[in-house]
Parts: sequence; C-alpha cells; structure tokens
Amino acid sequence: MKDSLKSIVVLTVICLVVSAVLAGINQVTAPIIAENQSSKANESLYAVLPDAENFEELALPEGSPETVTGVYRDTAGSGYAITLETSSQYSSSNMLITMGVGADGKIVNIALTNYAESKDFGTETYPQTYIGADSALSGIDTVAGVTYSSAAFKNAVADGFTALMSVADIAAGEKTEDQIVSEIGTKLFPYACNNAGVCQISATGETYSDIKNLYAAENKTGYIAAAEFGEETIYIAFDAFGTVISTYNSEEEEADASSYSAEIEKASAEVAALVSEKNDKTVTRLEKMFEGAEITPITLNVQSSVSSAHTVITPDGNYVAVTAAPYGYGGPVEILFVLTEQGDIVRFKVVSQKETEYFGEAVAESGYASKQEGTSVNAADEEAVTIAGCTFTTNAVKAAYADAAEALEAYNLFE
Amino acid sequence: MNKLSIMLKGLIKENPVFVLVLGTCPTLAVTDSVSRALGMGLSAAAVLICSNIVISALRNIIPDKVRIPSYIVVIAGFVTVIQMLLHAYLPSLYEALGTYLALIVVNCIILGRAEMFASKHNVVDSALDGLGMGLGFTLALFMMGTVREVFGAGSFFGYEIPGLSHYTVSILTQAPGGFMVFGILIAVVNKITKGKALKKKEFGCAGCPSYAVCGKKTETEKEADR
Repeated sequence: MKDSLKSIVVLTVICLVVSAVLAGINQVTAPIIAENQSSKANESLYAVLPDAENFEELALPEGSPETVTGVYRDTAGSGYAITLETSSQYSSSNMLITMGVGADGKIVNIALTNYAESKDFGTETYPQTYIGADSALSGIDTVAGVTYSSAAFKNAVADGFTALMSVADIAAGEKTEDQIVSEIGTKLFPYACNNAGVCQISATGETYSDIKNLYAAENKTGYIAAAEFGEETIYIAFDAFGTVISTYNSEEEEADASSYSAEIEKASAEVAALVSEKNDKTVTRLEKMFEGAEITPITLNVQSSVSSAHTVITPDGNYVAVTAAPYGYGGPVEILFVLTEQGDIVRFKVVSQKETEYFGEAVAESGYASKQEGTSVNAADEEAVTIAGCTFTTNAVKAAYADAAEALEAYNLFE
Repeated sequence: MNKLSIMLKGLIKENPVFVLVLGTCPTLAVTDSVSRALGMGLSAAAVLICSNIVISALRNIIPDKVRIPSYIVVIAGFVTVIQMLLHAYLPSLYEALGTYLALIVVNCIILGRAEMFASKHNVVDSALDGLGMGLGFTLALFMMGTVREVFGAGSFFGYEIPGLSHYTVSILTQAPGGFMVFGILIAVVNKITKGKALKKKEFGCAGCPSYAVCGKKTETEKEADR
C-alpha cells in the first residue's frame, strides 16, 4: 500500500514538474512560432514589399474588381501588397500576380507567380517594366504579338490600383495626354479597338500651331484633338466624317462644348484636312473602278467602323461607296463596298488588311470578292462570307457588312 | 571504467546504430540528406543527455514499479521542449524532420540508455554516457546521410557537387538504398572492431529492458530466479 502510494505521488510530481517546464517554454516560444507562421503565409507579400513589418488584410468594398483577391496593408506603413488573379482566357490556369505599392502610390515590386498563357510575354522582363509606375500606368504598353496576355496583365494591375485607392489613401497618378486620349477613344470608338480591347489611336506625328496635338484611330474611324484652354488641356472627339461628337476637360469629364467653341473651330479645321486626305485616296481608287464617274464625299451620321462614304454617279447608274474597317485578328480589315441604293453589292474590295498570311490572302483574293458581288449588303450570304477556320477575319467581314448596311440606310434616310 | 572511456565507447565500440542496432527507424527515415540526419542526430543527442541526467538524478526516488512510465514522461517532456525550440528558432529543420522529431520519444536508444545505464550510474557518468551515445548516433546518421546524399543525389548539405550530380544512384535516396547502406556500414564497423563488440552479453537478450518478461530466459536462469 505504501509502495503504491509512493509510486502514484512520484509519478504525479514528475508529470506536474514536466508540465510546468513545458508551460514555461511554451510561453517563450509560442509568440515566435505564431510570428513565423504568419510571416510564412505572407512570404509572397514580403517579396514585393521587402520593408514591410507585418501585414493586415483590408476588407474590400462591394463591387471591387473581381481580379483583386486581396489587399494587405503593412502595419508599419511602408505600403500595400495586392494579390491579383486574371486570365486572357487562352490559358489552362489563371495568371497570379502579387504587386507591392509603396506609400507614395508607386509600384515597388511586382511578381508573377503563375503564368500558363500560350505565348510568353517575357515573364521575367515584362512585369519589371511596371516598377515605379503609379496608378496612371503611364508609358506602359502591351507586348506586341502577345496582346491578349499582356493586356490582361495590365488590366489586372489597373484593377489592383482601383481596389487599393478605394480602401487606402493613395493619390491617383497623373495620366499622360496619350493615356487620356486612349481612354476616351476606348469609350467613344469601340470599333477602333482591337480584339484585346485596346483602342488603337495614336498621334499623327505632325506639329500643329493652333492645337496641341491630333490623334487618329488606326482604322480612321475617329479623331481626338488635344487643345489648350487656359491652363488645362481639353479633348475634342470627332467621328470619321469630322463631326464633333463630344468634348472632355482635363479631368476626363464630359464638358459643355459651347464654352470651347474657339478651340473646336481650330481643331475641326485640322481634322477636316485629315478627313479630306483620307477621302482623296478613296476617290482615286473609285475613279480607277468607274472611269469618268462623278465622285463626291458625303457625311453620314453613323458611328461605326465606317471610315468614309461617297456617292458615285455614272452614266450606268448611281451608287454609294462605303469603306468599313472593322478589326480582324491582326488589325483593321478595310473593305470598300460599292452599293446600289437598294443595297446590292456592285463591287467588293479588300483595300488593306493585316491578317496572318493564309487568311489575309483568302480574304483579299479576287475569288472571295466575286462571291460577295451580286449579293445584298443587307443580308450577308453566310456561305460566301465565311472563311473556314478563320473566325476573327470572318467576323470582321460580317461587321463590315452590318456597318455598311447601316451607313446605306443613313444615306437613304438623309436623301 | 574511466570517464573518457564511458564517453568514447558510444562513438564506435558500442555505437547505438551500428553495434547495438537501436533506433533503426529514424536512421533509415531521415538519412536521405545530411542536414536532416545531422538535425535528427543532434536533437536526439540533446534529449539523450538531458534525460540521462534527470533519470540518473531521480534513480533513487523513482519506485521500480513506475520507472518506465516515469522515464517516458521525462523523455517526452524533453522531446517536446526540443520540438518547441526548433519550431520557434529553426523552423526549416523542424519541418524537414516532421513527425520523426516527435518519435524521438519512442526511440529505443534513449529508453535503452535510461534503463541500462542512467538508472544504475551517477549523474556525471550518465551525462557522459548520453553525450557519447548521442554523438555516436549523430555520427552514424551523418555517415549514412553523407553516403546517401553524395552518391544518391550528387549533393552535400544541399549544395550540388560539380561533376557528380549527373552520375547519381538514385535508389540510395530511397528506402531500399537506405537498408543497403545501413547493412554495408554495419559490416564495415564489425570489421573494424573485429566482431568483438557484438559478443558482449549486455547487447544480447540479457541487455534488453523487456528481458525479464519476454520468455527468452534459459532454463538455468529460470532456475536461479526460482
């Protein structure tokens, strides 16, 4: 009995002492272990914001961009880390991006942790071009030939800034004139944007004495003039025919055109010169097709891929010539339709295209054109229009049909 | 037995792995890389030294009936301490050793030394025995880890060995390779000690903590017990 009691007491005391020792050591190590674990979870965040001490996740408001999976704030105030997930829909898995933004609103570092797109946009080099950029992302382009993936990347970063600015006190970066023009262009001229949704509008490269700069869409379906108005720069948008569509102030807000009438007048004159230069080329082309015809440019109230319209008066009959240039796979597919007033296609000519070799040849060859001639622009012959295996080019031709038909309707109404 | 020889015997003559063939499970499991092997060896050595000291100090207090549970509690306590310290200060080693770290509790070297040595000798001798056995275990693991990592993975401590990394015997990093290396090293140690070490009675059945109950006693021993 005495032995048993001794055994119980000794074993209990040993257990108690060991427990006490473990409790003491746990007091010391537990916080260190917890810290290690949290820093491990945030390892990718530290990679993009190396000066950070500890991260806390910020709650995103409803309606934040879906690409943003998390916004984290460094508790020491060195900046923010944002995790993003996006895709160009041409990949087996989503791109995963982590970006670090300093307290000054500039990108400190950016890491691409998963990339499964079919084409490499330079996974090592391209993200590096974003370092130092602010929310305006000025001077950052998409990668030629890998437009879809690089545009998706760029849009994700822009979304990251949008989400960050909604939860943190980060000043918006100042946008360059080119960026503002591109944004206005994307809004106003969706038909001047390529399939990746990037508006193809660029400065003409000329210098103007009375306006600051003039931008033309690649497919000549719209123009934007930048003009000085006192201290600020205003933007005046024109359609393909040189008619003013809207006016924007330097904050990219739509403004009342009447307050800028002098600037609009000057810009209109410059745009008119570009429009007439464009029309002259078409007139020359039509003169070759219809010898001795009387060709007059006309202005239509349409905003589409139609870049110009002319009346063609010949002894045999009167026609309307419409040029439409919707985007195919590689760039605008510029098609000249010569139509009767009823919409019958008299001539169909692919004036220019930037499609890949095989499809480019297929759409530009005379056989393809002759299949279209004789059909009606109002009802595209599915069989004649379709180029097998070439969805983008086919869709471009279909869009050209629809836009030409709309232009003809506008002409007939006007008449 | 002088103090030095108590310590030194664990290294080769009574090496726990190659001569006593104890602790085979962790020996085979963690020796695919030198750093894991070394981490495991030193962790076990630390537990062995501490538990030997405590068990030796308490040898006259702990009643015979509860000695095994008492040893286990002490050993488990030290293993948990090591676990917590590694988790806090060497998290990468903690993760590399994984569950084998906790399994030091049931490592028969530690319980074996507690039963065979610490419970019968004074604190200083027990500490030296723990040190010697711990270093012997570490040395054995280090040797096995070196052979397996250098020839199996073409690297040492994770650093690639130029020229060797293209000519690796990858089976060495797997379990069968572990057994082969283990067997070969036992043979080498046996050769060096000329087989003397294995003949000691202490290492036979009589040295086993469960000897009294396992039914392997010879008739004369049973007679003597009666």
